Amino acid sequence: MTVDAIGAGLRSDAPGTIQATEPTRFDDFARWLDGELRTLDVELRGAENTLREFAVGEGRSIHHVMMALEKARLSLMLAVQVRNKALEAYQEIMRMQV
Amino acid sequence: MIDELGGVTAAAVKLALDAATLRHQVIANNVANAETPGFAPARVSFEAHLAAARAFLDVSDDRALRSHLDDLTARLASPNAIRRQGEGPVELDAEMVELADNSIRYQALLEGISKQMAIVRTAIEEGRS
Amino acid sequence: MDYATAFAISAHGMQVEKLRLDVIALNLANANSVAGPEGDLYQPLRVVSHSRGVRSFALQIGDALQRISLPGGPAGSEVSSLDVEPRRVHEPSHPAADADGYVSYPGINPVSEMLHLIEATRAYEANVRALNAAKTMAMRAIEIGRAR
Repeated sequence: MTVDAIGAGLRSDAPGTIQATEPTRFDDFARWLDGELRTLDVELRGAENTLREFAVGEGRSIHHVMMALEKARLSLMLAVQVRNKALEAYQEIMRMQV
Repeated sequence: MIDELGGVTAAAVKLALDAATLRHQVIANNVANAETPGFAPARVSFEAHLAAARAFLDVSDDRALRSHLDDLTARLASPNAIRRQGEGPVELDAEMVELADNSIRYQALLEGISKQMAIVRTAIEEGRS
Repeated sequence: MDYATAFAISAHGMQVEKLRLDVIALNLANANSVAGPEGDLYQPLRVVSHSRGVRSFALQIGDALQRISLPGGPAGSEVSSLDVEPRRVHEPSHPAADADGYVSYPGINPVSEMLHLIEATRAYEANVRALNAAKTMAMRAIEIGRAR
């Protein structure tokens, strides 16, 4: 789940048209979530590697390191918030009296 | 467990910070002895050894990098880390440039490891402040 | 590393200007010296510095983007002596006067030396300012993402 994904979602809607969206199937969502988490993992490792390279002297510029780390942190925070919301929704449903 | 959370990255950054601290002391000593007759400025010649650690960065085996870092830590503590450069008098502006370079590097390393730990903290705190 | 290259360039520039200063001071100190016993009169010196590979500057930028850094500061700086006519002053009573009663002094123009001194000082200050600017930029980069 990267910060870039938010922008991609916004762009796909053409202005002025209201479309009835297809209901997302459960396994599509699961697969999507899994893919996003893998992307997040790659991004986190990449940022950590950038810092390691900088420490050892191989690294690129300072702003590259700082930006990579900050982007990774924001992506992680977004993923955590999505997870928290999903958990909340699940708990709310479980509390419903049938 | 806390040691594992920091990981090899924290060890590498710590080593780089130690090197920068030592370099600062050497530069300060050079500046303090600017007027001492016969004093030759010294430099910390550690970067070559640190560069050798680069070979271990690509391999995903953290243990190899960690043992290499332990070896480098010992090297940094030895007197060989500091070398006299030539016999010349101390050039104050050259020392100032070294000082600026070293300060930037030190602060960048500090900020980098802070950010890295903030990432780990985000995961631990589950997004709840 | 980016900032390290900027520092190296400015440091090199400062070194060259300091050399210029030393040479000017030497010229001024010898302004009134006469020829020694071997007949060698002091010739004013000048620092000549040329930059490195100006033609391939575009290539240098390209290389820098690929992390091969080539500082573009002054490469070689040579101290060369100027070929100027000595200043001849009519002093028949001077021990070093020649047959016509003239004493030869080095052809140093103090006014132009002072001008070069001012230029060297300005250039040195400019290099220091460039270095400080590079340092400020690096400090700002460190502050990326830091909450105010």
